[in-house]
Amino acid sequence: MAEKYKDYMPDPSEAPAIDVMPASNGEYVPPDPTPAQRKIMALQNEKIEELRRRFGMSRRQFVRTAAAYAVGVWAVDKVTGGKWGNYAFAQNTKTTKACDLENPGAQLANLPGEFILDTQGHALDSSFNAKWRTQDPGFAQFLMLWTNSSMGDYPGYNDGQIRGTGEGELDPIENLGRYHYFKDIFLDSSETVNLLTALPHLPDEINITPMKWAAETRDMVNHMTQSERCFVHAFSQPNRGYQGPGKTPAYQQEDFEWMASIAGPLDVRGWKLYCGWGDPGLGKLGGEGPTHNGWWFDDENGMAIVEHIRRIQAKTNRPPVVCTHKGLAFNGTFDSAKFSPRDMGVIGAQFPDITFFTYHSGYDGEHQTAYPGDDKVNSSNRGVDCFIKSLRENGIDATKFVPKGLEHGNTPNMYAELGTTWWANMSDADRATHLLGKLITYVGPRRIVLGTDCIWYGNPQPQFVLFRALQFSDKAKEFYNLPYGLDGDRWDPRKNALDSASYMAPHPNISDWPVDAKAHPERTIRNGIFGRTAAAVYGLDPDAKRNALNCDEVQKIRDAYILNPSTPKETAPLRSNTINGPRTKKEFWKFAKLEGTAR
Amino acid sequence: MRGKLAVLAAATLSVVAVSVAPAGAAASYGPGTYKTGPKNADPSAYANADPATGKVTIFQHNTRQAAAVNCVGDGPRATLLAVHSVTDQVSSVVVDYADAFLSDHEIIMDVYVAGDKSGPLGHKADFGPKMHESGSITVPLKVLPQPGETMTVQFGLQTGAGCLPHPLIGLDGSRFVNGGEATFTGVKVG
Repeated sequence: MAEKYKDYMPDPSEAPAIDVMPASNGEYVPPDPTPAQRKIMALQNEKIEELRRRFGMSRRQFVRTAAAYAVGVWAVDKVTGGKWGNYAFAQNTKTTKACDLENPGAQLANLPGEFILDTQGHALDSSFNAKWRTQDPGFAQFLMLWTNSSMGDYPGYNDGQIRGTGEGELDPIENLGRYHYFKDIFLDSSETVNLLTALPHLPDEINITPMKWAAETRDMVNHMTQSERCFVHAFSQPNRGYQGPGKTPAYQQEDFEWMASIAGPLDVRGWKLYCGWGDPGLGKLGGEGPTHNGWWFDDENGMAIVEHIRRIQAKTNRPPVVCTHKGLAFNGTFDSAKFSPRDMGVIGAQFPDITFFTYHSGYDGEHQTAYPGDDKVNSSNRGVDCFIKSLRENGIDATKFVPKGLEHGNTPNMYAELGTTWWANMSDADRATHLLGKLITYVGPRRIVLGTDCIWYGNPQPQFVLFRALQFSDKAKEFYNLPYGLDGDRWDPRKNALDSASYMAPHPNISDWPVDAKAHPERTIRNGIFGRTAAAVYGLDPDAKRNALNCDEVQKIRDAYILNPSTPKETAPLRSNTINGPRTKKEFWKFAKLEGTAR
Repeated sequence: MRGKLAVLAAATLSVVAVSVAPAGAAASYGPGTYKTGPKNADPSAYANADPATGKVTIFQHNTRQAAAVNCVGDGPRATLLAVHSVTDQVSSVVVDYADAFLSDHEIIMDVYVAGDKSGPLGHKADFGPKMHESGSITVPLKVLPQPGETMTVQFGLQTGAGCLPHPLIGLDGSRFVNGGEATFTGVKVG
């Protein structure tokens, strides 16, 4: 397989497994690297050279090993860890001064109790005859300009070789299609189940992830694995055919009927909404263009679609799940103001029987610190603190729901999703700790879910490796009242789920507390965020899925694909290890010049 | 006949008593009794709330530069407070406004009610656009404050930070300028 692949694709890169240097999506000049970023890369490069020589491996081979991930984690920790958090599994070990090569945290096999349900998987219909490619070509340009998987030089002929973009395809959109989705998600990462979520817009036939295609993709995965490794969302919107304030949009009824018609037959487990997705049609006539006619959950359009989803999910006996993009403004592409999470608390309080996932947790690139307090936060902005403020001003933040005898609560029906939010903050241990600490405090230890936003960012494994390793400092443990950090039991974070002593006697306030005198890694906050929390919402049995892994076809493919599995020399020889797109000012201007030529 | 008159008199008295009781519990606040509430605004924004007149103004020019997928900034928010000492049962809060000019749908007229012991009691928003309109925002209280606690009604205008158009796609995801102004003429607690 590897030899055949090499016939068509360029040599894999020699970049470290965890690359923290600036990258541009081609829209802006990448910033100069910070001293911290330079130091992380220098440390990695130095250690990679030392270790690959010790193992007698080429650099290209070594950077695809589990040990290379461990080196990356060690370097990030060495430079950014300290006051609030650390990446700990690679420090203070006996094996080397740099990293513990026997550490399983970097390997593809799931750790004890670990079930990874990625709540934000993406891929698109990349076929040339996909309707969206001819009828909505602007979307192709938009995706090519910001997704790491598709970025890179424009296709061409260089040094006697045909050159592709991003992950190596001549068609940039193909980098985001099924093949790379299967490879990145199910072969190159530890993911157990992927939620293939939806993207705008309607009518569905010109959506970039049309439902028929999404359902086929899901069925292919589940057929190959003979187990449930994939399920889907569907996109909808209440504002197509926008006609102005106070008027029912022209196509709302039609779109609601379409929703009801596919919910059961296509097994739609939840609905993906984008409040900032304006309507490009009649909106122009109404004087409100596509980037200005989005909607709020607490206006008439928002109320209408939530009530409709409640009806159709009940009728089809499926969980009433509403997932909505909040944060990440995409200014100029969406009605960015409507991506403020200010309405999440309002709608959550108003519909207690519906489960809401706030995608990205409202994050919009802001620096993560402790929650600064209600008076300082304007909930109409975008940001994680604005999401928290929205819950607090509507009386549904976790601190209002602390059961008697415990010290941590959970919002009744609101979940914080981490797609891109984790990716953007994981390279700084202090920022990552604040992000999770405040979400645990105000949303709840059983209300946070890890999405990756891959394959936009390629292989999600670096996100998993760093998430496995994050440790709260003593100061952070005290500040957030989490004495065991992410290893605390998510029903009572004051107990260490990795310590059998926590489960010797019944818990005075939790009725089904285990009393088998064994450690319960499946109960940690970490493993809840990894997938068990989302599994409970979607009615999946995480332990059943783990058993099914042993006999599924993708696992067999992965076993053949990985060399020396579950050993310090574990290697994925075809892993891309590449962040695509311009990395320096010089590369950016070259990219911009090429783009001008392409146009 | 005398008996019927006695019944009528008793009924009249009870009606009067019933109508008097809530009147005793109600309270009104207006310009001059307000206090200044929390305020936000980065250098691209202006936010002001005048407790003497009840006038609240927010404005921003959205010249912040959008990043790849982000648009970071602190949009304007200006608020006033009406502080009420709870002595009897409170079941509703109504905030009146006049001459409201809100440039677009993303300008929020926001009312938040909280008790110092009970925490959040109610929250309600209204949206633009409004062209010099007058009206009221009635806040349904999900939790009733208890006698003895201090209830704060926070009201004003807010919106999120906007940015310049996308560098390549070039659409205006944020309006170049937006804002709003309204005079909050009274707060009724009853």
